[in-house]
Amino acid sequence: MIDETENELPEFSQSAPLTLGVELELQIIGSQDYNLIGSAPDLLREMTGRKHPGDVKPEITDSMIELSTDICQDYQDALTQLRSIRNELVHQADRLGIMLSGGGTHPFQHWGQQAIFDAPRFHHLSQLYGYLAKQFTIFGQHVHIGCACPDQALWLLHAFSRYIPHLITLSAASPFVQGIDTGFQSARLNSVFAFPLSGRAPFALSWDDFSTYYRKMIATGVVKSMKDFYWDIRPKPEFGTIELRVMDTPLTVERAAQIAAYAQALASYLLKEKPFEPQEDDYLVYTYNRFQACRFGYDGRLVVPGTAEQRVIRDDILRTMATIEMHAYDLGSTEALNLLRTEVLQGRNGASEVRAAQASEGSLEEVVRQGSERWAGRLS
Amino acid sequence: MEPSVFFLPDWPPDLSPLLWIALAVVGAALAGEWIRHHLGLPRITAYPVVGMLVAAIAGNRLVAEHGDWLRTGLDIALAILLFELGSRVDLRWLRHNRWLLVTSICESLAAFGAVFAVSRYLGVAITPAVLLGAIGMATSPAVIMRVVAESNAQGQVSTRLLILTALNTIYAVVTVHLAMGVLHQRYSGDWVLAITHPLYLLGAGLLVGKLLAMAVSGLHRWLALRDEYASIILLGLVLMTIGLIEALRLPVTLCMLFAGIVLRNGERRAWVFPRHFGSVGGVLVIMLFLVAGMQIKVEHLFTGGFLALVLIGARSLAKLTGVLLLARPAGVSWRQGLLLGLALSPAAGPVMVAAADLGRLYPELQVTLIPVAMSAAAIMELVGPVIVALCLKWSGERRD
Repeated sequence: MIDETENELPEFSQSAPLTLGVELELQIIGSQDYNLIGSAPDLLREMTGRKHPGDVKPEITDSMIELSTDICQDYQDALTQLRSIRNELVHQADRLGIMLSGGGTHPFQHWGQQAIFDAPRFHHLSQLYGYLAKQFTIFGQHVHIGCACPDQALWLLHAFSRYIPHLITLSAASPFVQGIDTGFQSARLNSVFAFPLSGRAPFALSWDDFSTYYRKMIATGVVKSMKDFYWDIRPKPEFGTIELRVMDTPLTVERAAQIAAYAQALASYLLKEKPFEPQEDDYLVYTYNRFQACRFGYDGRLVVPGTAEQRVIRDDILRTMATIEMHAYDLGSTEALNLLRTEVLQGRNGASEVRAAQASEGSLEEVVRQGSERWAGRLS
Repeated sequence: MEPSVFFLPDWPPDLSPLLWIALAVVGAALAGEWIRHHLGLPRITAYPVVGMLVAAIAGNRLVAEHGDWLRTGLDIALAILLFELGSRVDLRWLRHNRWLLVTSICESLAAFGAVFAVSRYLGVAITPAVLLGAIGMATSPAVIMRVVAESNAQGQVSTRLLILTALNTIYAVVTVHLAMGVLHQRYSGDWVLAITHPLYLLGAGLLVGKLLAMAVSGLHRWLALRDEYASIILLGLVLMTIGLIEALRLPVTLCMLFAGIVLRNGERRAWVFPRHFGSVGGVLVIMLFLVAGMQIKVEHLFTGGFLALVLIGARSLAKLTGVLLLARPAGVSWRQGLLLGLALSPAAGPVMVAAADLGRLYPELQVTLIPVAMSAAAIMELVGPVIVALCLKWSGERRD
């Protein structure tokens, strides 16, 4: 699979607009030392044949596992599916005496100790990227949003770019890396930026232009398929979706579903109201805004693209929530939006919760233990 | 011959047993490094062999003259090991995975049955056969802890190995003491004595364990037990506990295991055994294995003869069957079950000590029980660590 170059982009599949798909990368944690443990093969073996919606797949190191939902119609659907997969995974983890956890990074794991999952693609990545591949032991949430046609997908992709700081802030849950408080809310994204093909997608609004770009990149030999691009948002032609990839895996499936619902309502607003036309110049402030969100979260300042106006990210999120309220209502995700709004008003996200736990417990092991209980839904 | 100058030593100089022991330590450490480097096996596999060879060269007096001193050192090393082993037993796992508990009971009963049946078939009387069976249930905590720690192994095989070892050691100690109760009744005809003795051992053992656990967990809350200086407090606490255990005439094995289990499961807070403390114990453990080796005489390997080999074979097979039967319901693959079952085969040192005590209490057992058990233990002392190391290697959980 890995040696085959996909010379042409796959056909852009039909998918119902605004349908959702959620993928979550999870930490597998040993109950002896609360560190990551390479139990993905055990967990996958015990999961085979169990009935649950969606899918459970291996990830690059064998202390990670990825769950994904089937196509979801709305927030409730996503929440129900996520809970059901979570419950089955937690049940199997309990049998194996291991724990699962959300969060974008493990607070004190050392990447040198991770083993690469035994599959050709992962060994290839490990060979190519060296220690970067192991440092990629980070855990993200991906949200797929269905698009009617490829041009619409590209339009939405670029329109979404200015809301990337929102998604980062709402999901941020990786303040600690290798035992140290980084000062970041999402330190996970710093690991992503280390990859040569990370960042933003090229500005192309038609599928033809995008295909041309893709063919040129293939011709350089730098990439072999869409999988080699680690962009923050990338089109997924096989699914007929765009894939939002900047989020940390939140600490609970409930939060993950709420964030997916927020993205869905936002997409509905953008596609139906077309409040602005995306432009290349939107990206002038893109990395600055993204950094502000990663570093300061709600208190960060973003620059509104096309203007010199600075806004506190908290205010920008609240303002956007007010704007998309009706779309959320139509999509049946008013509850999700309200729950998220409360969090924003209280300045709370995964990062602040992890920090609060560390402040009160003074032990990262205990933070990890509580994190796994929270993930399992046993801790409010 | 009088030396010509007063400050010169006698000739030939008088080599003290201490020098021999020191030589053995250095030899063992070097052999450990060699084995690790060239054969890829954990260092501890070399220690008992070196111990046995040194004892063979230096003769009996080596161990005999330093018996008390060594016994204390060994008790400390063992106590720390058992404490750590206990603290790795997660009782909630057993609640979530009942099949694991059933596996534990199965493999222990099977081992008991196998050893009992073989002994009976070969003409050992019922009571000594029960004792042999009880001893056969336990997997050596020292071997398992050290090999797992040195291999830095993590995964289903190694974690289950630890928990099954802790459990079968508890079963074994309890059964041995129940059997002692029976012996008391038979030898002195006093029922009250026979019933209260094991009850006292278990109850007081739990209590002492609870005390140590409370002390350590209180201390842990007050200061982070993470650096070397905190380890000395822990060491002191363990020494105090051993003193208390001796004063109360309780089994160290049981008390320390209970202490660890209470510590880990008494509260929900995360507990990680301080690594430095583990390494303090680690140094003592070199001595433990060395001295265990010193107590093996080469002829020990043969005196038990065929009976010892049959015993080992039947016991290992029983444990393997017990684990394999329940492998899938308990959540491990067949391959993992196979390796786990095999890795449970090392025979237990502390229960051997109990057997030796019994031998002293009831001299009539010296003839039947002791030679066979000693021989089987000697063989497993040498081979056990290698088996465990290989099983962990094949399970892919080794990370050294």
